[in-house]
Amino acid sequence: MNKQLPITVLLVDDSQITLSIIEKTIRIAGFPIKAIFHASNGHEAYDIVNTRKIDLVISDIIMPVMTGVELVNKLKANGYTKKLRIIVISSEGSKTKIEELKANGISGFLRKPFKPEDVKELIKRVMWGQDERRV
Amino acid sequence: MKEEYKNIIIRVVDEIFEDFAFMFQESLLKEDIPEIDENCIKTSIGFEGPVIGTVSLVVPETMCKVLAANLLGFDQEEILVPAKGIDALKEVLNIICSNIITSLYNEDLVFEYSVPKAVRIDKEEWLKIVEKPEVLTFMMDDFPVLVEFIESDI
Repeated sequence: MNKQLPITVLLVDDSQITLSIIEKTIRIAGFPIKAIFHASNGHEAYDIVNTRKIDLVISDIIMPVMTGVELVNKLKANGYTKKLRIIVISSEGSKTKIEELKANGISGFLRKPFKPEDVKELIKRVMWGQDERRV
Repeated sequence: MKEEYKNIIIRVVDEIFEDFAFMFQESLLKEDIPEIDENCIKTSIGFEGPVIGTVSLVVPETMCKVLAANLLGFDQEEILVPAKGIDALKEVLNIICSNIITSLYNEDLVFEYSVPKAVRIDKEEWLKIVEKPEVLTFMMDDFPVLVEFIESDI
């Protein structure tokens, strides 16, 4: 990987297991990481995004309090956060819903169950435009 | 359960456990399911779209710890918090449920899913669930596993 500025990532999922798996994948991948924050629903994530400088949000869809779809819509509607890169990692399989999320401005989608290398490639593509494999 | 659903559900459960949880299954006749001598965890997700229903996964409590360890790539002894095991079971069910729905119905259809809920049940309750017609039985490594699929038209 070329010289890249370290990034701050926000992981959003109500499953602590999934948060741990994705964080482990990111750390093992060797990306330049400044910090990784966790949120267990969209509401917590929205608060974090508004108080920290976040470069990438990786969010699930099905969560209590505020879903991932609501989070995406809220972030994209806010002038301060509308350019934020968002990856959705979810078990959602409805093509209609996935297309809707893409139309709302997410940078990438990955369906669960995912392979660690798929997460790695998608982050690489979204953050640094290295389109080695389209996910 | 509709006959045509059975093979699809067995395939999905097989793939998810193998690919995500590194556990290998064989489907099992209900009469061959071994006795259990511990409590179990039943976790359920509701789905709602052109069809509504529920998918549940029922496993012995000790299997939850194995699931968590496999998902995280840890040894079982490193899983000290029981909640991690239940969290792992919910996540596996979450993935199984949406994959069953897209395999059974059209991928263009939109379904909403509830947040998974888990309850602890005893042996008697386990036996009642085994007998239900909507339930498929599996052996996942050395653990008996029940998958219940209930659907109804709106």
